Amino acid sequence: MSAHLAGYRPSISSLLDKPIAPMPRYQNQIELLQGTLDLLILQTLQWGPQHGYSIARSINITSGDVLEVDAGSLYPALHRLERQGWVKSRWKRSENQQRVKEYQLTNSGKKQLLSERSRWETLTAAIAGVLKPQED
Amino acid sequence: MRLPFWRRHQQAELEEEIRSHLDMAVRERVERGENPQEAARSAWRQFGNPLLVEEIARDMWGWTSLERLWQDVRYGLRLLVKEPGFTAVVVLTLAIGIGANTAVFSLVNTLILRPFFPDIQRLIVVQDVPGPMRGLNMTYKMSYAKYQAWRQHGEIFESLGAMYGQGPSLTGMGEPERLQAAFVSSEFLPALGISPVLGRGFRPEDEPRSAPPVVLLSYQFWRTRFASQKDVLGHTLQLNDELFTIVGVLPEHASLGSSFFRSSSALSFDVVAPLRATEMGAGANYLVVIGKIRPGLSVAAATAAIDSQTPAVNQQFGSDYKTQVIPLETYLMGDTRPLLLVVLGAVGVVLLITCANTANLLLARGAARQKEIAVRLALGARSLRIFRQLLTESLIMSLLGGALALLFLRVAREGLLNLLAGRLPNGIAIPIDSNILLSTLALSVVTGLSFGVAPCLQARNRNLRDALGQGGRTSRSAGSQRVRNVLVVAEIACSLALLAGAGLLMRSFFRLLSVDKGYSSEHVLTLRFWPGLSYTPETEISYLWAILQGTLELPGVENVGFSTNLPLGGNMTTGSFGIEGRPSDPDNPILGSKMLVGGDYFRALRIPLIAGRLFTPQDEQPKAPPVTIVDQAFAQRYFKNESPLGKRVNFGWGGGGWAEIIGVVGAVREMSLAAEEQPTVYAPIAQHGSAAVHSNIFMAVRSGGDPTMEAQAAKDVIHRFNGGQIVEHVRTMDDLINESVAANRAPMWLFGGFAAITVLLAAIGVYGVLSYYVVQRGQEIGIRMALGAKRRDVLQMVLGRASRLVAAGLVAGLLISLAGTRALTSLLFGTKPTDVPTFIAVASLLAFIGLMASIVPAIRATGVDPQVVLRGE
Repeated sequence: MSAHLAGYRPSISSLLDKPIAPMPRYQNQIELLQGTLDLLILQTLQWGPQHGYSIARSINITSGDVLEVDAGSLYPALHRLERQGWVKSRWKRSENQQRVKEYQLTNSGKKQLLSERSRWETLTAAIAGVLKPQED
Repeated sequence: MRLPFWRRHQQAELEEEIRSHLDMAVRERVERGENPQEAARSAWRQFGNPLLVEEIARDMWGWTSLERLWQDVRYGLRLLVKEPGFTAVVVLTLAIGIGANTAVFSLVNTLILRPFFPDIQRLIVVQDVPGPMRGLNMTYKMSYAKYQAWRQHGEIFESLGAMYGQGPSLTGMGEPERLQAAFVSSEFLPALGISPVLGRGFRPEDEPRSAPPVVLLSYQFWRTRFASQKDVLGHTLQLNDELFTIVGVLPEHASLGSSFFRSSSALSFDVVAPLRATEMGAGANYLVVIGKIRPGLSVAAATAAIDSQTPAVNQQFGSDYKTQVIPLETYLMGDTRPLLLVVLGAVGVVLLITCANTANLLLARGAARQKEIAVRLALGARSLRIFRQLLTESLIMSLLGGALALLFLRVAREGLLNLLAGRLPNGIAIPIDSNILLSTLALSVVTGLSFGVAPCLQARNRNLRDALGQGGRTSRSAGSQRVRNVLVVAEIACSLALLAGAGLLMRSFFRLLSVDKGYSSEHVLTLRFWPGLSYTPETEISYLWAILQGTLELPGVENVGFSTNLPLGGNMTTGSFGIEGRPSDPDNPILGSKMLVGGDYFRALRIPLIAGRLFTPQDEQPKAPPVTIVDQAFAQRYFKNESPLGKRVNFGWGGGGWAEIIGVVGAVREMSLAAEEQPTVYAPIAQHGSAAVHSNIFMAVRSGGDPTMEAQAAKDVIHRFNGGQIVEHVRTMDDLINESVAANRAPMWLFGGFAAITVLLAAIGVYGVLSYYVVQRGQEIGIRMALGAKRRDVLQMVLGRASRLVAAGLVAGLLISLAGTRALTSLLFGTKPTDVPTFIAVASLLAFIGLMASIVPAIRATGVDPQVVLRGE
């Protein structure tokens, strides 16, 4: 079972795809998902610089094949992160001599990662609190 | 689509990145065991197609504003091409509006805002005027002696220059011909800031009679006769049989011409020579004197100083004249400024109407684009984007109009200058330079924005559901309809105002032409010649006599006469007279025109004899008893209750002494058709020969048929007696009259042209609004017809609507006109700015045109098929 992550703005390709789970309709849901993608990317880059494809694969693998990031969401997100100064990029030659663009976490990116993680944990704890079966 | 280079680079990088992303995805699938082709296909499918890159790029960077602009421009152009008729009408009217405005504005800029002489506010014209005549007109001049006297007053004037004009004959360069020459004092040209582009100007040493004669060439003359050769200095010109050495060439736009004499003939000077004391009597006033006031002195202070010094100056000459001071700018341009401002106003109105009309047309088209805009808004376009696009469309049209206007500009400029030729300083040009281009561009942009606002406002009030739904036909954007109605009413009102102006000017023009001139101008040939200084009074008289006999012998000739001036001839001589038995009263001098006549002058012009008799050949002997004839104006002013016959006046020109008044003739409009008759005293040429030799001689020949047939024959007669006589200004009396009113014709044509354009636009506006009205009310009309309304009722409904619009426009227009035509007062002759018949005529014309414009939509309304309408869209 896989669900697609929505990106910055609903791109047409994602609109036309039939999601297995129905797309959330509320504005703040989308914002949540968008910010979440940023968090996942930052987290992935914590383990060292990677290029775009490998970031996507990494997220896919570590999420247990639940989350699939398509190029239409990934690259705008990466660009956004770069624009905000949380990652920086450079071109390198890969093992098979192919040119790839590698992204790396910056210092402010590391700080941002920490603050995003704590926000996420607060949020999930709050939601868990609500969902916890009530003690009778 | 070509992107700017920095974007291209970014996009290329992104492409590369994504391609490698895909490659790796494919490779991984293959490694997992998928078939390579399958892998490729599914990878590509998953990650989209080449367009993905652009999409992502757009997500990341957004559209660049250039891409957006290019899109808008392309879309706008496509729209324009799709409706060529619409586009053509709009662009053409815009071109006319913008072109006319730019032409007039640059003319106004050149004349009013940019002074054509440096320090022009310090330049004044100083005139010698008989006291009571001060302020009546601006053509008075000064005598040489008085000029010299005023020249000494360095406390008032930094410099005082003088000039007069003459037409010397140029010989020795091909055929003898008449040139236009200015004779100026040495400080005249420097005071006007005119310095030669070649050689030198005049120095005080050039002025005495003993100095070698020198001359300056005008730029035109230098270019046409000497092919702009730099070595022209040192060559000589033979003028009036005297050799003048060329010492310099004047700059191109020196603005020296007949405008300095307030003559509307728009002649420029060919050559300029130094002013010398001439043999013209000390009392002869022929100099135009222009002074440059000391810096720091205001014109008022200078005037006061001049007034206080006048008695002292007068003392030296025993005269009692006053001095009149006129700022040079007023002198040269006084008449033209009100006309220019009026024209500027009119042409501005034309542009406003053009904008209103275009806005109207765009609103009509906008209504049809409701659906398109609604869909775009629904798809997520921001309204700002839509406004930008609508504005771009408008700007494209107005810029196209501006470009077309540039093509017209040459023609417009020539036309404008030609029309106003008589009223502008000489040598004025409207250069087509960067200024004009910039102002055309600016005007196009402003125009485009101002009418482009209309469809934007219309797009804003868009109710999406209505527009997209089936009920699109009935949505009644009432606000937009009202705006369009108001625009049309405004157009009609402005057209009425301009039409009224044109009508008034036309009426005034014809009144001018039909004024009672006091003489008859049909069938009269006129010409002018100057016998020259080689003639003495006696030889000149016999010369003229011989010409007279010779011309009378020509077939078809009825009367021939000579004079020193013709009505509208521009050679008026005025002065004071003495009447025997009346003491001279300095506060009430006896003034009038002086004319020397010979032959059958009065009968040639059919000037009626009121009392007494005309001159006979016996009077035309030098030794005969001195006689004069006065005209009715003179008689009425100075001989109120008595008959002038038998009284004696002192003619005082070319021979003093008392002359008996032997006849009274009708008064004649000599100066212009508009000016009232001046008191005039006539005397025989033969009795005042010494004045005659210095004067131009006019000849009037009345014949039975076409006067132009006699032209060559008359010239031949003259040449029979003097082969080298230069004969000029050969034209009929009617031609003279036409020329004299040419300056009145200009405003008439201008206004007529503008009025025609605006009426056409207003008609288009009415047509457009009514067509739209019919389309809008289509359903209603269909229902009415289904319910039994006849064609006549439908016609009534539409025409009723039309007449309400037109009526509102006429009323508003009348109000505007009544207020505005006052500005034309200075241009009107014998017609009030509120002339009722003109207004009635003009309003009826416009009402008729409005009616014509509404007929087609009205008829189309009756063609609505009720069945089609009721069935729905």
